[in-house]
Amino acid sequence: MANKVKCGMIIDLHRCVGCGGCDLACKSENNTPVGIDWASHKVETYGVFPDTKYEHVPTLCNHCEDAPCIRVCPTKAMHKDNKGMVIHDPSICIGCKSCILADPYKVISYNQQSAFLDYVTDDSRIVKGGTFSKKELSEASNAPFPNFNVDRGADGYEAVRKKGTVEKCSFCDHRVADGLAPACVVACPADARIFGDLNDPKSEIVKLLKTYKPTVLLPEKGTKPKVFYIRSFSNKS
Amino acid sequence: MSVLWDIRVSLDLFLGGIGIGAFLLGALLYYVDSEAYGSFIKKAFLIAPIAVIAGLLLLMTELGRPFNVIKTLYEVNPTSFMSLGIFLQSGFILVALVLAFLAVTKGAETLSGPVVYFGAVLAGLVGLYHGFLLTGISIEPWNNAIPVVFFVSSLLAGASLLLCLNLGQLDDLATKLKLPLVMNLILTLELAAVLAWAYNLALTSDSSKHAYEVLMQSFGMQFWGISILLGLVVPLGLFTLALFKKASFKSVFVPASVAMIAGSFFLKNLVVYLGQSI
Repeated sequence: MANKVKCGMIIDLHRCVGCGGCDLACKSENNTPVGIDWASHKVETYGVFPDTKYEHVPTLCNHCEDAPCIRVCPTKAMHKDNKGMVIHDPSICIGCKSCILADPYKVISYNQQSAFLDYVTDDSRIVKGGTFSKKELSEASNAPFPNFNVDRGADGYEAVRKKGTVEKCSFCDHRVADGLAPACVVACPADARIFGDLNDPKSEIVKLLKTYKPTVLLPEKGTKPKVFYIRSFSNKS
Repeated sequence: MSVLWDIRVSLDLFLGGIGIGAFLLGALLYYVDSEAYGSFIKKAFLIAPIAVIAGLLLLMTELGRPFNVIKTLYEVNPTSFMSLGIFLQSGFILVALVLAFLAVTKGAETLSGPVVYFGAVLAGLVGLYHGFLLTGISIEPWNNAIPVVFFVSSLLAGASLLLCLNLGQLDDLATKLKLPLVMNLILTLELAAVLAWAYNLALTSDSSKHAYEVLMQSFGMQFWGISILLGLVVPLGLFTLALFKKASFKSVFVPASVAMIAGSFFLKNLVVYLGQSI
């Protein structure tokens, strides 16, 4: 019997130029507002001059094998899908925020605000009789409003993010289901992100993991992350 | 300070603790003499579900989507203490309400012994759950000492409140149950548990040491001043005076109870906030 698909991601730190394109692609794909970043990065400068180092590490949900967020969720809203990705189902989330507290990587956010609906509700004009309101513009152009994502809303996924629930990176499961790579992987101009099946010995991700010694964030937590970092410039670890 | 779990969670743990502490004392007295302590038992079984329900209602307001709580009844996660706790608390409330109704309408002596025992077991489990709710998150300082610290704190607060509401029978109970001695023993146990928790934080790992530093720097007054000194040491001293007949038990009991109840709340509140300040 063939092994079950187990999705993972490699971030090649030699290739990453720190442009933040992944962060923006994620925001665009998943309609996250200011203050909620499913994909982000941490930067650190360390050492003593002249021997100093600057480190830029892209971060996202690690889709851990032993995910603390899944363990503590009282309703299984946070669960593992058939590709080994840690997915959140807002329809059964009670908004208790246990997962945020249990998550050592701090990549889960709590959505405190209603969806941003300016583009369907705001009919005020900057110059009366001279400019479009946001609502008119949206209607005239027949464009979806910014927090409504047609792709995200397809195939049973919710298009508008709900208030009072948590949310996090989904490895763009809606795209993966269609045979596409996550938005951050596609957007990366340096091909620093490699996404694939960790159980497929022929996949690029498995080959790279064999070639380079990978590291993960907070290995001491024992969560077995499935986001690996290779070719770090850092000599800290 | 911006926190994910605010004072409503602390109040839930505190009120829930009052409820189970009161229930357990009521159950104990039921087995000692259900006729002599009938009114005491009635109050205990009434206070228990009311306190637990009040705490849960406060907790509901803290949830982002409180109406989804109903889904916890069929979307069960056996690895989540919160998921298990919902069943334990629901079961306890149900049993406590039935007992309260029967105690008020038919008298405490008519209650079924096995049902009271079952309620006491549930109360014990709910008492432990309050601590495990935090321990299950697996972050410092919410370590394995917390369930014991919270459980004993709940016993002290719940029993104190109930005894304050039955001061007429206090002297009788003090003699029969050797209350000054028992209270001293429970207070000493709680003091040992809390100090062991703090000591453990101070020594175990980098993250626990950091938690200890935050405890001392940001919550030092709440911890040493209110939780330890006011909530445990002062009552311990007062009960010791009563034990050695330097003061009457009745005269020291009310101030000691107020101190223990306040100490219980502040201790739980600081633990809830400390865990989120690391």
